[in-house]
Amino acid sequence: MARAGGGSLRTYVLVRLVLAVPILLILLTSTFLLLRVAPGDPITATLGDRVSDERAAQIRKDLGLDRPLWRQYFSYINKVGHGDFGNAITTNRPIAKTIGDRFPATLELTMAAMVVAVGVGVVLGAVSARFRDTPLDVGGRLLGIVLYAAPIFWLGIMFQLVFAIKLHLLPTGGRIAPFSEPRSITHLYVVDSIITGDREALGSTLRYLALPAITLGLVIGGIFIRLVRVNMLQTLKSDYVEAARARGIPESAVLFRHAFKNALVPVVTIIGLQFALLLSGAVLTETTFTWPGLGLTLYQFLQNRDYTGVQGLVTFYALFVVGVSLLIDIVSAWVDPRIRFS
Amino acid sequence: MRVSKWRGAIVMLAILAVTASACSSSKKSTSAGGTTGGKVADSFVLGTTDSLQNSFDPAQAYDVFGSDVVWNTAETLVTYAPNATTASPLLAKELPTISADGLTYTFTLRDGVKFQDGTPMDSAAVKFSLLRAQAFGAKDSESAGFLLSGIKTIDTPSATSVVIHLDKPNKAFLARLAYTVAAIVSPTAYKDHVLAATETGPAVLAKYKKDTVVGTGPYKLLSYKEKESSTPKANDSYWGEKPKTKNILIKFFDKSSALKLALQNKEVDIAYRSLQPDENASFKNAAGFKLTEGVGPGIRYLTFNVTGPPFNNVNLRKAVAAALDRKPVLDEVLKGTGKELASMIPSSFKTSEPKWTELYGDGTDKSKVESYLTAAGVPAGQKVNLDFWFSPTHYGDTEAGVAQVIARTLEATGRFSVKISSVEWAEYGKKRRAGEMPVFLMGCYPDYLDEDDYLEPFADKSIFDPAKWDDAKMLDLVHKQQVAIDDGARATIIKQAQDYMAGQVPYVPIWSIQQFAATTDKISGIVLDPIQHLRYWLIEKKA
Repeated sequence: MARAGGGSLRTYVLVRLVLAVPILLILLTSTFLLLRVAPGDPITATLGDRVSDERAAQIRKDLGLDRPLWRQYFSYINKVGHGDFGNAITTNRPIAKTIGDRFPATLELTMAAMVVAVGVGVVLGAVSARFRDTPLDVGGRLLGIVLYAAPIFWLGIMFQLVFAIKLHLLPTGGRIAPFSEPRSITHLYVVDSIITGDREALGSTLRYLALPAITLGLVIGGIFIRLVRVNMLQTLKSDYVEAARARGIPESAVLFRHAFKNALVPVVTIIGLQFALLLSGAVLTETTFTWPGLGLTLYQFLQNRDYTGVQGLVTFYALFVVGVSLLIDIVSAWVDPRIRFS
Repeated sequence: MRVSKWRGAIVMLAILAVTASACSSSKKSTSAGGTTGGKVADSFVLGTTDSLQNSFDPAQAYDVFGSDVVWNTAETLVTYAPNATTASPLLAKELPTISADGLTYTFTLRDGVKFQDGTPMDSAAVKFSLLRAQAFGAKDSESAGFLLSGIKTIDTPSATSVVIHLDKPNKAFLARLAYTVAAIVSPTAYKDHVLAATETGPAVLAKYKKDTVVGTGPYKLLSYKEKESSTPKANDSYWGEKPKTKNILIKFFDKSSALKLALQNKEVDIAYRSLQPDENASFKNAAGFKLTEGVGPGIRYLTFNVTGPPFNNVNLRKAVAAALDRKPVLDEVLKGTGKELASMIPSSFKTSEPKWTELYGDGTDKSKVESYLTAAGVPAGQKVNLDFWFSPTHYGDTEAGVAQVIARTLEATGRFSVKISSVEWAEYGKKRRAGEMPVFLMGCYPDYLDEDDYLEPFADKSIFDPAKWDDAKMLDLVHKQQVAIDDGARATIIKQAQDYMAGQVPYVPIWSIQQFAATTDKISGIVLDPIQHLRYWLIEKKA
């Protein structure tokens, strides 16, 4: 059995890897084409009035934009394959370096937001299910819908006004207080602060992380509230829960040891899928809170019409989301054999 | 076991929360960027919506933020004291001796000045720096090095003596030497960043030293994180008076609204370049804040395309100039953040004369409009259609309002029908160059503080001249004031140039741009003067 199962997992992983190739190609091709069908010349759109004609021509040549489209396409695919995302026009820096500098901040924010989303979603979803059709349930469902529907920037601005401007409890934006950065090891400030034992940096990081993470987390949390509630309700109706109750097991144990655990299985899968949503939400959250991550950088590139910058970051996002999805598929298949057999 | 795992996680979260709470209380006890205990904080935080366009190399930095950093980290031979419009010595011991023919400038340098890397500042360094910037200017059309193109040769008779020979006299040369492109940099640090004769295209750009500045200034650049932050730190070995504040954090914001919130919450101490007029106004009388205002060198003006109909008709241009009422623009849109401009040369210069309002009034005399329209051949009672353009974001969020109000004042005469169109800046530039916009809004920040920079760019098509005016008489006046050695004679020529330009009216000055810095009430020492650079070294924050 073990050998058969292992062989099946290997096949499954191989199939997923092969399937990832056309998905990646479709994503890369879409990114490439969408940016090229956009109206206007990317060089003058980016550098505007201050660029001379000869400089514009030179940059166009350097970027290969004077070559036929098919050549540009294969060059792009080839470079991405080698981890080269090109240089941004506005900064003239390698985009890979910008990603290296900025992605840790986005990763830290999305991880913290995920903690908030799962925490809020699981607790409120479970409570709603447990107290079905009571005011608590109605409140939980309503909150789930409102949170999911709330625009991130609006929620962020409201939090800024209340917690920063009115109550002066938290900062309006940024990643850490001035002159407080921990010694850089992983570029994740929470982790670096803990590793270096820098309490002041840790406190500052958590204060600055609070509002952006709560904002982004709550919006995603709205989905989890509804998902956990539905799963809990289905689980609570299942035979084994009924059997547990019939055996006289206390209701709290039925809920937490039996129903709750099983209700969370599909949630774990959804957590992975929500990563893409988190990353897109991070663009708005980072812009609202001046959080110096990749989302804010993408916004800056868009604002400056930096064609190569946008292309590089969108490509990275695409690769990252495909990579995470692939990883989740593999982990899910490893944990739950039914997935690979289905 | 599982229960204990959950408990463990809850305990971990509680520990994190308590730690955060404890640490956040300790943070609260210090002000933003400040220290406790002393009278003056050793740091402050400056927030800005500016960003670095190219690099910190003085030969390349041509944007406001980049040249601001150069201004505070490197020094020039001459400079401007706060609120002065005439140059004073800086790395030079005194103002230069200028030969009678205006072709030779002899400087004596200060003794004992060293660059931040320890290299002595001497005549060789001055020659190295000026010729280096000049060479970049000759090969990179976007470098300000062209301002030094008049330098013919530089002699260095001794370590403290520099003799600059010009190919022709230029009265604005000292002003040009005060601009950041003429900052003196360490030959040691920049030895690999000098152009040979062979580079072209990207090879020229690759030679700039982009990441930092090595000068003699009161600050040195400790770090720069792209579009995130920059940290100037006091130069401990600075030869002059020590800066008031040791550490500065410059935080970049994408939106003025975010910068305003950060100042409101005192996460930044200074909001400089740029809050919107309403946002600045909100700090004017707010408790705990103040608004510092200063004269700005920037100007805003209407431009006519004089090469084609309808504005190749000078009387039609005059009719528009007579119909334009500046006051509603200043009151309703700019809300006190602009100052009426009646000449292309701002009133901070002694030679500035309000020729436009003298000739065309203040926009309320309809009889002037009528007489110019009659002279233009427009039949009585017939409306003139104007195709009026602006760019919606390049000059800030107020631009659409400015265009609307200008159109309204023109239409209020009953003789104009205005169609307003807008296009983003890149396209705007193309249309301007192609002569596709009959009348449009423009703005200008001068490179150096001299009347010449308000005349030459508007007359010489090889430099700018958005109206495509290209007038031989005006060019002659411009060149005459550049080479005039006697101050009185030069002032007369500058006045003649304004008079002639107002008479031909290819441009209509509207307002001069004021500068603002909103700060907490703990900040002092902010000087906003026509030089348009913030002097970091004068700023201090009460602890």
